[in-house]
Amino acid sequence: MRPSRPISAFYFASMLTGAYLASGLFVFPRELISVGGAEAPWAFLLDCAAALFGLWLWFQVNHLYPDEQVSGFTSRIVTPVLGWPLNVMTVITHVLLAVWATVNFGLVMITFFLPDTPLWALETLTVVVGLYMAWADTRVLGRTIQALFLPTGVLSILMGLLLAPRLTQAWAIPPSGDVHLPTIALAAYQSFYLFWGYEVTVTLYPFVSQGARRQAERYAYIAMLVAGAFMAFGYILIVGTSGPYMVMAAEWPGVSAMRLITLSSFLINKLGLFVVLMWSLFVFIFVAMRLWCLAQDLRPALGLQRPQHYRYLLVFFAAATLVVSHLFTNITVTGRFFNEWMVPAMALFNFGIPPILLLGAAITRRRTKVSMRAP
Amino acid sequence: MRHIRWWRSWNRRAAWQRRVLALAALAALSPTLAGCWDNRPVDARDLVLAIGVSPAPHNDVTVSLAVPTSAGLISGTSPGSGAGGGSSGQSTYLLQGTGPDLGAAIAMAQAYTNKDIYLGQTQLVLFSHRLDATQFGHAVSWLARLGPFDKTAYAAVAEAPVAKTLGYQPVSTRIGPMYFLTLFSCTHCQTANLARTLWSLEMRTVSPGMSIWLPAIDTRGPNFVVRRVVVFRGNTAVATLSPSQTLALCYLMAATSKATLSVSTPAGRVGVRAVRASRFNSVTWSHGRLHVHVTISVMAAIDQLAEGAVNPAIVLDVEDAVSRRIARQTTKVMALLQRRGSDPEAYGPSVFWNWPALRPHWLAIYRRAVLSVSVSTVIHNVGDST
Repeated sequence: MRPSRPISAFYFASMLTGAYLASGLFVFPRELISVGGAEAPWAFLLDCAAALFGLWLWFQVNHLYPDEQVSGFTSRIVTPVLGWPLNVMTVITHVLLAVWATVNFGLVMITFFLPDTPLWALETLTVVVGLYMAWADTRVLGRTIQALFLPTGVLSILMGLLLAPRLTQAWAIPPSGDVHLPTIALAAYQSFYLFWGYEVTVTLYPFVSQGARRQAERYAYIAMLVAGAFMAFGYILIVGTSGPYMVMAAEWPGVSAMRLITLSSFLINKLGLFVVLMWSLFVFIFVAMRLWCLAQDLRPALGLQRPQHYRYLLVFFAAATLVVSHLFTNITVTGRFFNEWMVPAMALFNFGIPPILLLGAAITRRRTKVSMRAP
Repeated sequence: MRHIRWWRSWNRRAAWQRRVLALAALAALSPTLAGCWDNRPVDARDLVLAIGVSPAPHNDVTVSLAVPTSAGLISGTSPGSGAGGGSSGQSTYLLQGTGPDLGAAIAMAQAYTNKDIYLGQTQLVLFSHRLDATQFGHAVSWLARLGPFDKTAYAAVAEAPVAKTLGYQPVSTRIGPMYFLTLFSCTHCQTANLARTLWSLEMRTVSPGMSIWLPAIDTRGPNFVVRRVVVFRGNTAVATLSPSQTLALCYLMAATSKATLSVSTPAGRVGVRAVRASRFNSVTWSHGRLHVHVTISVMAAIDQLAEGAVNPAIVLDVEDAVSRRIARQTTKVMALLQRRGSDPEAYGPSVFWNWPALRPHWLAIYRRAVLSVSVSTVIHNVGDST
């Protein structure tokens, strides 16, 4: 395997978007509505703003050592005593994120499509496809993601438009004028899973060719805004067709709403279901990005620099994802676990670690300057 | 020479890895070659077209499944399969089972057939009007939880016994349950669109304050008759509206397509057709009371004049008479629904979604609400001959 060639700004933005888009695809906007009530749209906007800010924070970490991955320089900034736990936390986070997407997708499939198919078969399929996508080098993964994005996104939007005549519960779409900041903040916090995964930037950034990094950052922000608009479109359709109480009652509100799309005269009359199946591509991309990130992230930390080490790590983490996925047998347990443990852990990871690293770097630099000045 | 090159490349580590991965992928994908685990040949399946749910002794429920016979399937899909269809034999047969819930009842029905009962093609779910609230609620919840079950299936209430309704042979089609697919899927074919899907039923079951209404199916004619609706409060049926009350409810819900009216004017009786209504609901909370004001805009065509030619004065008179008639009918129906505590137009949720504190007292608030209707009519078509 050849060492990875640098990627362009556009590849970077696509890969970064692919790394978080599938995270909330099936569950959105249940928590937003059940916690936020009529103020859910404000909470969604807060989520988008927080994700943009979070992305900016990780970019600041990348600016410390633009050519190195974070696992390579954490120990240098905050000493190995803190650096190693941080690396372990990164690994656990990414494995759990891959599990989150794999389990959710498997459960959607056995609930709506293939009730007799064992869950492990669907999970294995997801992870193996993810593994296959990440198998070649970074550029190939980027190109695959770019090629899959456009048709799936465009088809989802076109199909979504077919739901427009069914917007009978449109009264639930506009936000309430009665603003309670704690409710909005809590709803935004609970549904921040929408953007879980954008922290992949910290590993992906050094792969961008040096001249294109500023542009890559700009594209990443724009892509996040577009993803936010895509989600807002989904919010309007789901809440407008189902009404807020049905959204709270459904395990996967988006899938339930898409199932309503039928075109009786078309070859595939259940077009909505076809789109839900196409969303599996987003899930494969998400899992592939997690595996890619895990394997790339650990290489400098473990000193595994030979190209084939990347694939050994990929297979190891794919296996780990499958093993952990087997622990989650139904959506109630999975939802509860991720709501109670993963939501705070991810908030801490995304908004706690970058400031620590930035602060650590500031102190280290000052110390370096002082020690340089001292003699 | 060729095989040596192959052997060399096999020996190269990267190519070797690639082959192992390809073999592993093939092995992993091989089970899917025959379809999926769920795959059953179509001739090993009983494709259920309609499900009927009715009460049974000891608080049990009876499930009736209408399944087309192979002769029925062929005649139902071949062109020109109208009345009689030309082929002999039954077009559908019923599988029945009784149990404490739908699952147990269907399991019992499964014992009466040598094929796999498949609900993914269901077009109609028929509830008996004798089901009590608990049984009805359980049935909807059971159907909603069944993932692969198609929620775009239509739902209705049977006025006659469910099994009799499902086994009824209308003159216009060979397969009874397919009648409803044609009837309900054409939204502007009927006087008023009474189609209800299982999805909308499920949504109303889980949404507080959003009352269920379902079309009632009558089997006393040569075809099915569908022109009345049953309205619910919670899961309890509280009224079966008459055809004219049903039409008034449809004006309130903007569901009429080609209603007709006959009104008295100074120029005599005038027939009006193609009555289409759109409506705007204004639901406000002021001075501790709920105010619901429905503004209905009606478009219609003059169908028949008693005598004389159409002139502007007559048109104005007709518009006025139509508005007054529709306002009177709709106000009466709104008052009836208010008395019964049924809110099929779901005025409530839009209020207490923004003011959750009102939700626990909703029924009392709704019963005290000030309801009003204003109707404006435009005659846009007076016909060709004056």
